[in-house]
Amino acid sequence: MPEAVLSAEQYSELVGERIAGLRAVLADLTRDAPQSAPQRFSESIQILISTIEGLFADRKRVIKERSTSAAEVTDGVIFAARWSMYLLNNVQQQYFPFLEKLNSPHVPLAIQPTLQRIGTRFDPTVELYLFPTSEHNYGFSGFRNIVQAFIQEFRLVIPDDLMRTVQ
Amino acid sequence: MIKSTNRQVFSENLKMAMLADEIASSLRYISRRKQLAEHDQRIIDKAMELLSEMRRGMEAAKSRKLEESLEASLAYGQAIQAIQLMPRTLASTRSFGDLVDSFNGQLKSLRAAGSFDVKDVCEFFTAVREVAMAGSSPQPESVRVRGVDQESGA
Repeated sequence: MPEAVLSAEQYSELVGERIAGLRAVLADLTRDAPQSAPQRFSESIQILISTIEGLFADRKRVIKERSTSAAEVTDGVIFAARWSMYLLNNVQQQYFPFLEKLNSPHVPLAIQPTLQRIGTRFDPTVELYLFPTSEHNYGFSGFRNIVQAFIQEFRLVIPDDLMRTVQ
Repeated sequence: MIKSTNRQVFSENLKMAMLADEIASSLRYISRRKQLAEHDQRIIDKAMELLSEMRRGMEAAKSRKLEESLEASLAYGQAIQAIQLMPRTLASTRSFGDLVDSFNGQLKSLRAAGSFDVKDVCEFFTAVREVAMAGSSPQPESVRVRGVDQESGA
């Protein structure tokens, strides 16, 4: 592997800054959101960010515990920082655009109660929020078990105590 | 118009990169410690599972039934690229199947606490980790317009 330009500490700081930045943006986007805004959705994103933070912290601890040389620690921490950044970038890319629309002028649509009733029949905890779009088109995005899906996929690398906290 | 999307924060490549990293790091640690814990058994099982998936991918590729096992085909593709990063292994390997058998043999011996020498398997999963991580990087989109030179199209 080519020698890294940044040190392991600098990579760790970048991950920390990225997490702090995402939390600040999340707080900004949800602060003035209407009461009807999907609360559990934004909470799930918060939990997801905290899970990635916990995962990265645990990974660094494990790497330091297992490694016998400084080079091995550096390699391990940099790799963990890289996947942490990918996950955080993906969280922003996949979920934040919806939060950005929360504060746009929201006109309750007549079909909302009907859709909510239909959704609730399948799962009583369904949150439905309709964003106005142009030309009477409705975009539908469904999210289900956001956090659980994540921890199931990475079960092998998530430590038991972090798994219990998240669940 | 109703459009549905399936959004996840991880891709198959990223998942593979993280798993391969955990496997390589754990196997290295086990071979140093020369003892097995409960978590280590899970790691060895996962490593063997991934090797089986790679083998299934190879068989699917041979029989041209890639669509039947997309994940296995992806795993096989990553394994092939990973072997390219291991010149010593590449030179001494007769076939991919033999290599998987050899890795499986090392892992079985490790699970039975018979031999703690799993250097080749560690090297392989470290290479898989790099290949998978490189595959997770978003590729810049490019547009080619007929009749416009690439240099002048910027």
